[in-house]
Amino acid sequence: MKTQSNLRISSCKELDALAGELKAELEGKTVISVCSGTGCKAYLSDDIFSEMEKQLSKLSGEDSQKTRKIVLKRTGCHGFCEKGPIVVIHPEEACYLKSKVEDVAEILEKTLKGEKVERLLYRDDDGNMIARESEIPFYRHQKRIILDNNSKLDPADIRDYIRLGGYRAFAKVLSSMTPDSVIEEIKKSNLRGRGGGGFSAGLKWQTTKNAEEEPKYIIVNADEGDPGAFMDRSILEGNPHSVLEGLLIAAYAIGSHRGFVYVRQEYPLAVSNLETAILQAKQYGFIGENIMNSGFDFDVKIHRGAGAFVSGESSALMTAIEGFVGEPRLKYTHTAVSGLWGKPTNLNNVETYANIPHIINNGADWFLSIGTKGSSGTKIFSLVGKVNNTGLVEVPMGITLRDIIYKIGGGSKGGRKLKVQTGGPSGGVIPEDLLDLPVDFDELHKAGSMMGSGGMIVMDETDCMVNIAGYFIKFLADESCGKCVPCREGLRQMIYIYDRIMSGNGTVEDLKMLEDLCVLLEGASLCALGQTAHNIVVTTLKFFREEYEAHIYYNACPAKVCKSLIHYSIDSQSCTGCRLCVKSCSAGAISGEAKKPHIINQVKCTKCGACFEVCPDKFGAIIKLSGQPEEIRVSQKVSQPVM
Amino acid sequence: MVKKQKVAEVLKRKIKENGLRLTSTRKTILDVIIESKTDLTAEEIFINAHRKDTGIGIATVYRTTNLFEEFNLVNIVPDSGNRKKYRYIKKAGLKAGRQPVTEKPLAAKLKSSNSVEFQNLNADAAGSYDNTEKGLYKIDKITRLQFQINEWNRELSKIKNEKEMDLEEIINDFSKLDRVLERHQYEKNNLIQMLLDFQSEYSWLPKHVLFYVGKKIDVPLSQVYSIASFYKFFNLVPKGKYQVVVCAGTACHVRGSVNLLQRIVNILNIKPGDTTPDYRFTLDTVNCLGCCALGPVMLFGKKYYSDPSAKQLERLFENTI
Repeated sequence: MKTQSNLRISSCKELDALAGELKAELEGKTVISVCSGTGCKAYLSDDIFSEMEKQLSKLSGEDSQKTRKIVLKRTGCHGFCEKGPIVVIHPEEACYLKSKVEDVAEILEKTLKGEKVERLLYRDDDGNMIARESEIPFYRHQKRIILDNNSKLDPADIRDYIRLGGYRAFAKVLSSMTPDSVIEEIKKSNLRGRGGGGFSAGLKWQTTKNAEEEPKYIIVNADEGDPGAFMDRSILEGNPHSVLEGLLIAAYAIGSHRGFVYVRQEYPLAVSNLETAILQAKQYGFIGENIMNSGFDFDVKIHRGAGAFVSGESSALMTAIEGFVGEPRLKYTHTAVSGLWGKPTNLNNVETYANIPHIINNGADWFLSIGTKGSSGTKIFSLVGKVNNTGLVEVPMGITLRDIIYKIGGGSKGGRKLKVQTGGPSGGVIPEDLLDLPVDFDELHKAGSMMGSGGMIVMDETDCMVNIAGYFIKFLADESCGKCVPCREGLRQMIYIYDRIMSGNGTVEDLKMLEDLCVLLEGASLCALGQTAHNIVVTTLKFFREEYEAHIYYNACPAKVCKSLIHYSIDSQSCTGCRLCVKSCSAGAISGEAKKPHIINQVKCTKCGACFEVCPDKFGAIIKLSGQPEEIRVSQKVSQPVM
Repeated sequence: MVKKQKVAEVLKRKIKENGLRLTSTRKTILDVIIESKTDLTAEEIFINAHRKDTGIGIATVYRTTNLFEEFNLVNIVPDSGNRKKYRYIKKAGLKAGRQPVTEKPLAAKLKSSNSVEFQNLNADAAGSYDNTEKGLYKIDKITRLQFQINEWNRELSKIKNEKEMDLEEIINDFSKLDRVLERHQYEKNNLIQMLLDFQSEYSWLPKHVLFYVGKKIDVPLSQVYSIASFYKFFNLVPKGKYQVVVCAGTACHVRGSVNLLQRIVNILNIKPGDTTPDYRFTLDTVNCLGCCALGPVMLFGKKYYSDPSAKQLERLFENTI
């Protein structure tokens, strides 16, 4: 074993030797990996880990021979967030879902005996037990290339990454490839930017490399601001070295010696894991001067963003790194030619960089064999919303939306009709009958939506499309930097229109005005935030126009979401007077005695829906009704001045 | 020391004779200048004066120093950095001051007056009510201005009362800031990173911090402020002891985060983004907490709560002291 001071790896051979050594270390041992991604942490997976540690040390105190073969590991996100916290025993791949602190003793006991805790294993709809992690339907239909290692390695330990063949690609590039041949390989693989734009990564590198000015900068864009999307975060949290390796290869190819990682402050775990990773990579000599005796120098720095969606735009991000307010600028010249401090700058998304080591290791042809002709490789999606298996999925491009939602996501609860919103705030909504569309860069675009960075929010009939569109427009208006007028004022006008429609005061002209504003925003906005804002409006108007019309003509919200157009009422026939709703009401609007039907005071009611949720299904006494309640209408009539 | 006090006494009398009102603010600022052994810039006066009275803003300092200068109470000493430095004139008390202005213009009066003075003015205005168009315009203008000033006063006293202790701690000890600045090597393009570190240190960014940082790394205050107000993460007003964060991401939105938010609003009686008057809870929304499987989710302290009911929430908030 090397000592702390001479950890530096100076050649390909040494790296291989170290990897072999590390592999042998784990030979014949049982690894218990506890997921500690943010999702599982919210389910208290940290408590499980510390409990395991405690019990293991107790056991080894009793009999050190017994626990010698067990290695405990804290890993990154496994993806199956719905069933967290997840504990996986390798090499058997026994996957324990929804484990609790109380289960720890049993898991350890059975594992030591070589048995499995059957009650914690996955069961399919027919009740059949599935022992191996990779055979669970959620994983079986995926093709996990980038996320695969997430569940196998400890993100805070570089040796785990090296054990799994990490930095092999970088060593190969340094020792046997010229920058041009690297770019050729990436170009051949047709790797397209995973951040949403879909621009060829190889071409971008080529432009940056050919730009005349020096120095050249390289940036990782980890400012993932889309609500409901957490792909980049999971990679950075679970496998930060894969991103660093991709970054190093890219830096070598374009001839850059200074890199930045722009990561959101809101991802504290990603920031700290990345910091550790950089520190360790420096210790092992992958970052620094004269890397692996090749004469190539590289240094990387983390830049934390402070919560601005628009700063994810490339020119805004560069302004933010320069220390100014992160507002986009007009791109007369591409950032590859004139970016950070006016120098040639290459900027790619986290997932794009994570793909690169795999392409170098396995070759461009292998990469081309996955996915479709125009879009090769895999893509990670965060599948969230009203779907049974919420989580992170990695699929080959070209798979249909239906496969993702039904085969991997397990469909919806209660078999409702589904629609899906893709691409975050810049994307659109795709209705049920278009779910057979293949997912790639071009096909979704034709339907009016986009793949974006990979957010996929599943919705059903109980979601009002007007409300959803209004929600996204509000989000974008909030996040608009206000630099250009179409985006700042256009979005604000849209909010007024949506507020009118949602409160039942919309007119037919409003729809026309929305369409006009869409054209204006698309054509005249400065950056992609405004240019793509119309997608959500156009798609909802196209596919769900009847919902808009119901709001306007009948003052009704078909999905019963818009607060001004609904009210809650208690069905006196089915109410048994259990007082559950009385206790749940935070506005004090429900009154009534025990065992007698209760009444909602419509004037006091804030329509928070607490009573609706708390009323037991077997009674179902609280109902949502369309329109304004009688009391309000009467009081409004009285209060109206006589003119 | 005794002599110094005596001088100050004479001086203060002189000010009164000159027709100026010696308000507590002016007194404090004058004390700062007199007590100082060296020449001070307006910024330094501000920092020192603020320690004595948190209500003093930089604008007040500029105004007052100009006034003192006009009354020949202080001398301006040019500084190498092209900045004005103020020095107290020892024999100022003996020199003739500016002739007292008998009738101050309205705007100037409004500017220099505090709220007490202003109420009198308003009474005057009401007394001299005339029906001409000009008069109406005047009164309208006064009411608007008064409203604005009251607003400012309210804001000021709010921060003054509730966060006085915290603020004092921060102002008296800039060493923490220096450490952070050191770590970032006083580089201008690290400004956002510095502010992030300060925020994690104090949980909010008082104007003094912005001011101090700007001065240290030589960035105009306007630029520091533009950054601090652009990014969502920075708080320019103090936050409560406990943060209640509701996820308003799309996944949580479709699962009913609006209703959850409404429930919390009902209980805490504050709007999102606001803090309870006792500074215990601050209610915020974020765009995604990243645990969409739990949605709608609330983050309280360091714990995540999946769709808590009104009853659970009430118990939770009550039990948190």
